Amino acid sequence: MKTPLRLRMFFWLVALLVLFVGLQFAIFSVIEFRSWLHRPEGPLREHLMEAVTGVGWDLAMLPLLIWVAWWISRWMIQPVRTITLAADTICAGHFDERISTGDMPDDEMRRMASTINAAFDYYHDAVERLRRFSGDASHQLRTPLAAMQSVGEVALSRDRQPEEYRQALADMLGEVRRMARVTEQLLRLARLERTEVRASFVRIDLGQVARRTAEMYQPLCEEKRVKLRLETEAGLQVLGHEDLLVEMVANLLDNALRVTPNGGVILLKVEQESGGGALVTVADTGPGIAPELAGRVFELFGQVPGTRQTGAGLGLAIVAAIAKAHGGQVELSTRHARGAVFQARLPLMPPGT
Amino acid sequence: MHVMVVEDDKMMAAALAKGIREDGYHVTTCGTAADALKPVEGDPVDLFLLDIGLPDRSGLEVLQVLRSRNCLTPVIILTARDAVRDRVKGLDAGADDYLVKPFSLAELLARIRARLRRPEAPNASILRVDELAIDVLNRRVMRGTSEIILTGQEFELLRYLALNVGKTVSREMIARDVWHIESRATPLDNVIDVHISHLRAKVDRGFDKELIRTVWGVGFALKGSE
Repeated sequence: MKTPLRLRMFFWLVALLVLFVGLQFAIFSVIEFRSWLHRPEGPLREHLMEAVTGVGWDLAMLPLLIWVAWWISRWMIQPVRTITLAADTICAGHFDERISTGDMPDDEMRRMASTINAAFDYYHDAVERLRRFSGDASHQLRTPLAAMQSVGEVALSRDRQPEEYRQALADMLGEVRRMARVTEQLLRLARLERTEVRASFVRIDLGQVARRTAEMYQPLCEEKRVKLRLETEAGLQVLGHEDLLVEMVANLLDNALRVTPNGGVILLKVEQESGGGALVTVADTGPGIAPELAGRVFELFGQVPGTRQTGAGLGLAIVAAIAKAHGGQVELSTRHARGAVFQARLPLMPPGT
Repeated sequence: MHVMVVEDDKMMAAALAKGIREDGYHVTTCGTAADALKPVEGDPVDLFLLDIGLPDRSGLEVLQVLRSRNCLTPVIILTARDAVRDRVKGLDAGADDYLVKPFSLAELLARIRARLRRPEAPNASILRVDELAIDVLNRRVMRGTSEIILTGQEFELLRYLALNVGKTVSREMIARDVWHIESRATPLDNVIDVHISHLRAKVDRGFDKELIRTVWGVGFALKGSE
């Protein structure tokens, strides 16, 4: 069955026409036959001839009807042709084109077109992100590479004291660490995209996660004369991975510490939301983030304004990815006048044994 | 002790060989699976460092062949892949340990020591480094005659340094073994540095001799008299 769609429709229409003519002929014959039985005047043959002339007109019209059927079939598959044409254009490299659904009736074809458009949107977006990502990632790796090259070349450019060589090698190792870290973070992000990460999820006490992370960061906060306030509600449990959740809170604290001035306060709070989910809040008393930039801080390589350019700008992207992997989300609340307030919402597990 | 380094990257192999040799082992290197599986003349191999990505066959196959020959020599796998899948595959094939590139030499040496450690008095209840005494059971630390009061985390950190006395430990090792954070993407460098500086202030301040040393570009070490 390799007949094209349009031909198949055409054949169906023609078959319907033939069936219609046949039925008409049969009905006429029966009517004529019965009237002949009722009043048998003249031979039956003449009566039946009238039925034949009745459909004769139909038969005369048949070529016209077939021609109409041919055009109807064309009209019926027109949306398919439009969709194909648009898709071909997009595939040919015009990635911004979309199938125009404006003049389509709200039917299966329009829904199909919308679905295809959505698929194109998705892939276009993914390709764009990938393109930006490879650019940003190369840039991030290029910076430490450049530093290593300079340090190495300068060190070897003339004879130096052992101490200078030592310093140069230590500096290069520092850059290696920076590159290794960026690589780890990129790998982490790639893995969080996959669903397998959920396979290792178990019941985790969020308060415990917050306490553990706060304990690690406490001395660092003291060093910077920043007060770390911890408020946890007991018994809030999520289905998750403890290391990942610690990593999420650690990244938020790390970020908060970078923007909070001496004498500032960082609040780490774990509570149950009125909606029933768990809410992890990290609020700082730094300069805050302008609302128009709020959406961008979670993007890859997006720097939080006001921070020293120490990180690669992957920390908050990781925070968002971890929250998402746990079925939640993170947002930068802009309702507050001072400081930045990051809030991660995670679905709670019912308290159990 | 004879360590065989199976690694095809020449610079990497040379660096590893040098580092391990300077830690007091006899080291040989080879760059292919075929060479790794050749019978060794003379000094038998006590430990293999096995790169997974060898030019002729996968390191995992080398491992399988070794194990099928009933060779129980410890094997530490070196690889750039660290998905859980890969890790499990390596350990299933009979590897004793699994180290993900890039790793610090300090970490590699610690793993080698752990595999080749001779049965010695394990879990001593009091660790001594010079005049520093760490009572593991009662969680008390004395330097000479004065007691040093440490926080829980500082104590764990000092204990870890003492267990690796004389050896350098990297920040990654501390993150993993003291804080039990496996992910190297967690931002802990500053956290570790500040804990070390607090610990150093308590352990070394007021004493002539500095026990906690910073090893530039690598990590930290607790060292007594040489």
